[in-house]
Amino acid sequence: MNVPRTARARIAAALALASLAAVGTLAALAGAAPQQTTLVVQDGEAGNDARIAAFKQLDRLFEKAHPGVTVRRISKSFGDLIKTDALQLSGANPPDVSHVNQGLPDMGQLVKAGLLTPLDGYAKRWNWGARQSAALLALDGRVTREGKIGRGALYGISSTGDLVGVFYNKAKLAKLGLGVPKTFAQFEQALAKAQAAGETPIMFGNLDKWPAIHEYETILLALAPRGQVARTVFGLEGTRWTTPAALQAARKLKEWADKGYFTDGFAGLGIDDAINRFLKGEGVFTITGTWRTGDVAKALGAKAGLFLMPSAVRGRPAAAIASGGLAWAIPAKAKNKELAAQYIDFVTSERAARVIQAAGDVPAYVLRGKLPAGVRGDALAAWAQLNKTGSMVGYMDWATPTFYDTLTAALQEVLAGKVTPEGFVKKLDVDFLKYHRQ
Amino acid sequence: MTQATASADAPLASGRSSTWVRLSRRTEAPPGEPRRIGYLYILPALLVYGAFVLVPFAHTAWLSLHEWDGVTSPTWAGLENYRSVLTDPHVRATFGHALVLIVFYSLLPLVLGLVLAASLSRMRVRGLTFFRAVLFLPQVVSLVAVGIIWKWILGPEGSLNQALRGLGLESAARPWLGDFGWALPSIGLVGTWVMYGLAMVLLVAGVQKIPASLYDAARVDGAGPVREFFAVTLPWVRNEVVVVLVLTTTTALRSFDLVYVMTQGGPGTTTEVPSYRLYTAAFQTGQAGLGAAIGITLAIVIFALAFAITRIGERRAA
Repeated sequence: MNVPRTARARIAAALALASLAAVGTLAALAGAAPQQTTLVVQDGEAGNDARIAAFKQLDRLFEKAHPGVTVRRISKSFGDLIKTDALQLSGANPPDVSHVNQGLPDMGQLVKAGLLTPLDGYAKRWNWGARQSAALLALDGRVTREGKIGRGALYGISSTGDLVGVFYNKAKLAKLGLGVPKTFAQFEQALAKAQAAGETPIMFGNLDKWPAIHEYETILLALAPRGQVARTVFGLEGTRWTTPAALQAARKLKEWADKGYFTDGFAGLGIDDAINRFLKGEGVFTITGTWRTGDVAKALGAKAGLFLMPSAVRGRPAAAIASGGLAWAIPAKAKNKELAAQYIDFVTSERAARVIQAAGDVPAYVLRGKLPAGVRGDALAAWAQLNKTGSMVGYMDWATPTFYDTLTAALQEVLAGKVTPEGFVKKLDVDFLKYHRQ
Repeated sequence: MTQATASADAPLASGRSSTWVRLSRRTEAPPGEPRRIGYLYILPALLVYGAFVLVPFAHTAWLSLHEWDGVTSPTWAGLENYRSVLTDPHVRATFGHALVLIVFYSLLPLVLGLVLAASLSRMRVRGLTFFRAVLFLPQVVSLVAVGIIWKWILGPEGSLNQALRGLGLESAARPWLGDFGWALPSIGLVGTWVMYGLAMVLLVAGVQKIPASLYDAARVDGAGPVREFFAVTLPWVRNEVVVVLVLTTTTALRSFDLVYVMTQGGPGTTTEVPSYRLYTAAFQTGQAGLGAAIGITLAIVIFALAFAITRIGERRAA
């Protein structure tokens, strides 16, 4: 089980404190025969207090709409969830609804082992396709019987949305006499200008290994032909990593490192330390996920903003690493599947989205109406834009069960000049092709 | 022994031993000799040991012969996983890194401990108990806390680099844990810092039991500090040296905490050690069989090394 992407970031971002959410019981009369049912819902968001508060609010609303039903919530830290879910879901008494991590190493393996329930019937009955784009549903929940991701039946759907974007310090950018970059070339010019002015262009620390995935894939998405990276992350027929774009992106990453565009000593710096320095006003940009939006809004307030890395090709919409938050799934051995499906239908509905957005989070469902000001509004706008243009791409480490290890080690090597960009893409292909072409 | 004498001896030997057994059972059993009832006394401990050590060990050995992703059912793989341990350059390198750590966790603390013990044998130090407690402190702090503290110290803006810059050694400052050449020695030196307190406490205790008359005699014979060390101190603390070596090499080979907290095996794979690779294989990359094979191999290496150290120590002492 890989510990990918948003995941590691979330572990780092939020203090991973597992806590059991005790829930008060709510007795209610349901017509003539009051029947008591308890729905056990498990999430992997312990530590993300804002998100859990919104979920608890949704639990109460669901109970109100379903008299006689009590929702019992179990909150685990992300790490605890993914290390135990295979064992737990194969046991005789799994929760009725559980968060599952997307990607081949997690959801892919669970489906392959027959531990999850297909949701297509429910999706059709309640028209989930009108709530979320086909691209997002594919990212969050489509898996084949063989455990390949991005196609096949639907096994999961998310309530929230996460994306990796460029956070920036508005005051610093204004002082450099620059606006928000509209093209990749403008972004690079901003980096050069920031450096000339004695600023750190991009706050970055790679001691934890995974942050470089965000830097590299963000550059790659700006350079690669539309859809190429998304297809490769899914391991579709004929895809590989030895492409001109992947090579060019590796060269660009190395070039930025050599020019000193990243924080001094980034190789030995933890990502939390790097981002904390950004929050204190150091540096102009930092590339990370919207799960840090709350921290940025709190620390920098109106001084901060967020944009999607623009494409290097004129007129092409910006693509970004993005997916739903952890996906809701129904274990194959769950006792109360119909009620579980009703719960998932509710927490992904428009009404639930309003609750989530009011709590300061990004709902997967794109709401119409006025956006809040500041970096929170920027995050919502970026999510809406990606949904509209269909430019969401999964995290590269979803590609194979061992890809996280291969990719993070190879990125550290290419950044330090221990391996050439050519050698880097070849390393990725050795792992990738071994798994997908066997 | 030749073939002929061996077979000639055999009946005699067995006859002798059976007589001895009969005798000892009937009348001459000394009070401390093992009897069957003894097994009953150790049964509770044996059950616990069996349930929590032997059974998991056997299960691990069984897993190591399979290919298992941790979710679907395991498939038989024979010795394939062990072949990977021996031939996969990535896995083999982790054992190389563990050997480097032995130098830092084991040999360096031993040398430091010996030097300290030897100098203490030549002079009286006031407040020795206090110093001993302070030097032993790293040993009692949780390794995770040690890792986090040293991560700060060794960071790009950490106190080590600040000190170097303050001394005008700007060029020596570097992101220690992100440096391909320095990350492993950096972790090793943290290990030295943790382990030398243990070495020192054991060795100083050993030195204190040496009769002062031996040093007096050596000095009368005109021995200098070096001669005194090799002729008196070292032979008398031989057993302590063996204990220190066994404990510290075992810790070095098993090391996981510092790597997990400080570098996650990076940069690249330069600080990956067997235990860390075991962990990623078993819990992250869906290679539980390979993880089990690494674990079994590591246990064998540790056992062999501890056995060799003890044997060499005993033979020298004899």
